[in-house]
Amino acid sequence: MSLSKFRILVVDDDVDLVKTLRTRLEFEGYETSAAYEGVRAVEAAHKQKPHLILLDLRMPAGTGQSVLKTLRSHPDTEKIPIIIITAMDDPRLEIETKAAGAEEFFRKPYSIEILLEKIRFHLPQKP
Amino acid sequence: MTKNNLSQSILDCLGAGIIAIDKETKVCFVNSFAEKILGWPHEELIHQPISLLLKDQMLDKATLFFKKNGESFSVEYFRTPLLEGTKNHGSVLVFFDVTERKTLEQQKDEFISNLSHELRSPLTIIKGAIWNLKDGVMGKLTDKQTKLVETTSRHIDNLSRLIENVLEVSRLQSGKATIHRRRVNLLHLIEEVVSDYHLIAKEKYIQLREELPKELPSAYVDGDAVTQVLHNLLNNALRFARKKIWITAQPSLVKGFLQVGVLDDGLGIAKEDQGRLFNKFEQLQRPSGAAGYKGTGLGLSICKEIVAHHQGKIWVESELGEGAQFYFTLPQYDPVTDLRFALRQTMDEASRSGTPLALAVIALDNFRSVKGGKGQELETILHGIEDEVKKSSLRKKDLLFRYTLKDFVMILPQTPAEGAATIATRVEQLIQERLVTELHLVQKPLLRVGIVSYPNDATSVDRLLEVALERIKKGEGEMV
Repeated sequence: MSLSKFRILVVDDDVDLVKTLRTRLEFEGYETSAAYEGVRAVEAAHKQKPHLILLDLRMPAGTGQSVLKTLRSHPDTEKIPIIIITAMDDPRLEIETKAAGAEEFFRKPYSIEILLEKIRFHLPQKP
Repeated sequence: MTKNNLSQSILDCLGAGIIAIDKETKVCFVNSFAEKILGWPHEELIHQPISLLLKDQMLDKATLFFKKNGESFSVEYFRTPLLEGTKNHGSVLVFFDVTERKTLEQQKDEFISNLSHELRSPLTIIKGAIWNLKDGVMGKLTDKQTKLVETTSRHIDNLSRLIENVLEVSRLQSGKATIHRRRVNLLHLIEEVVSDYHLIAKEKYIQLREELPKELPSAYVDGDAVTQVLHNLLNNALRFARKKIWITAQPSLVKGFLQVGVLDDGLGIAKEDQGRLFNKFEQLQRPSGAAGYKGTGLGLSICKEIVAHHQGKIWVESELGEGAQFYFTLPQYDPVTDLRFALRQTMDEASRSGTPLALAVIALDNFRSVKGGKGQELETILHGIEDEVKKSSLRKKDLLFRYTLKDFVMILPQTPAEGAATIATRVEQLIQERLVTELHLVQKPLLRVGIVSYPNDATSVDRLLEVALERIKKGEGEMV
């Protein structure tokens, strides 16, 4: 089984963060794509059918919460594992996003090792 | 100026609102300041009920006052009885408009929350990039490059910790941090935390010793928060100790509290420095050459805040050159206080949501003879039943309490309306079965149940429990 066939969509409005994260994910053998705002993230999810999505919360044109809700309510995207990564402080966010269907919740700055572990855990058996 | 005129002038000059109300809570006096900020002229407010200013709020719980024009403002006030000799005529309210302060507090909280976002985001990128370098994502590094990257990485971790600590302190101080208290076995908690440090201590040739009693009453604390206090103190001790660190725990001299100590044989702290040790960003002189781990100057102030949230105390005993002994106290678990507190909370919740609440109190009539020489086993079984019921039939928000009071074992499930009886029956069955099968009792346990409901039977915790006990005694509750 080749890892390179797993596709991960990275959604964050910070271009540099996306770049660093994609570099790492590609090094680990994943195929990656990016979206920098909420609306584009939903489009990308439908078009590219990624195996997993890393999703920021605070973004222009559609917050992460609304992206999560939209993806979870459509049969084509409802099953894609979503990992939230946010710098926001509010302790309620974790409960809210998990209740809305997110698989994991990471607060920035996260540990890349744990993030990679969780990605592996939530990816399907085969790409 | 007559005495009366003088009193009136003084009241009017005060920069605080004063309203007196009679026994029917009708306004009988208003000073000029109150008139001015409320927008109500004296003559219109007199004889009006105080509820005019409070709308739907309770008199002693109101946080807003309403002006004549319908606008409201944040208020803080205290109420004292209006006495003439021993005769009570009503009460006096002295109040302040605290809108500005509340707004500032809110702005500060928002600022900190935004700041945390703005600090964490770039830090994440720096961290990610450094990790990419370190892990060879960008190609293999030379030894010199690796060293540089590792130093950078260490300092980024320090910066992360500083940011998290600043946020933690401001959360604790603003009252935003929530402390979830539970019954905690402090000895287990200490052992678990200390076990993380054995390896580091060994590397530094420091002997880490736990001087713990075999048994200690349970504490009533937020386990995560106390873990953090211990981590902070142990981290400090590791930085300053020469050869030894001791951890102690014992009942405090203050009744109802437990005392934990983290002691080291380091340089010690001069008397004149001890006072400011727990202030924010205070760092006393570090031992020279102690590079590497550098404190954030916030560890002890976080400890102080956490301990204060538990109504405990933290202090240091030290002489220069003689090591430092840090002690803190935490409340002991008291089932009755816990029960009252939790009941009060659920009752408040029920009252807010307008749903009634049912309470089943189960008493084990022949507790003493059943207990006999099997106290420990009985405890274990009852704990087991508690866990089982909690896991299965209770909804998430329902509660189950158990405490031993003289001869009673009381079990108090809470659930809206009729559910209490069902749960009570289930718990009774469990007790019967398990006590008989596991304790091989010759004597059958005699159980009685008293079911009460809030707010129908009573509206206060004490009264509710009293009614339940009365029902048990009267034998209204069914004998099993």
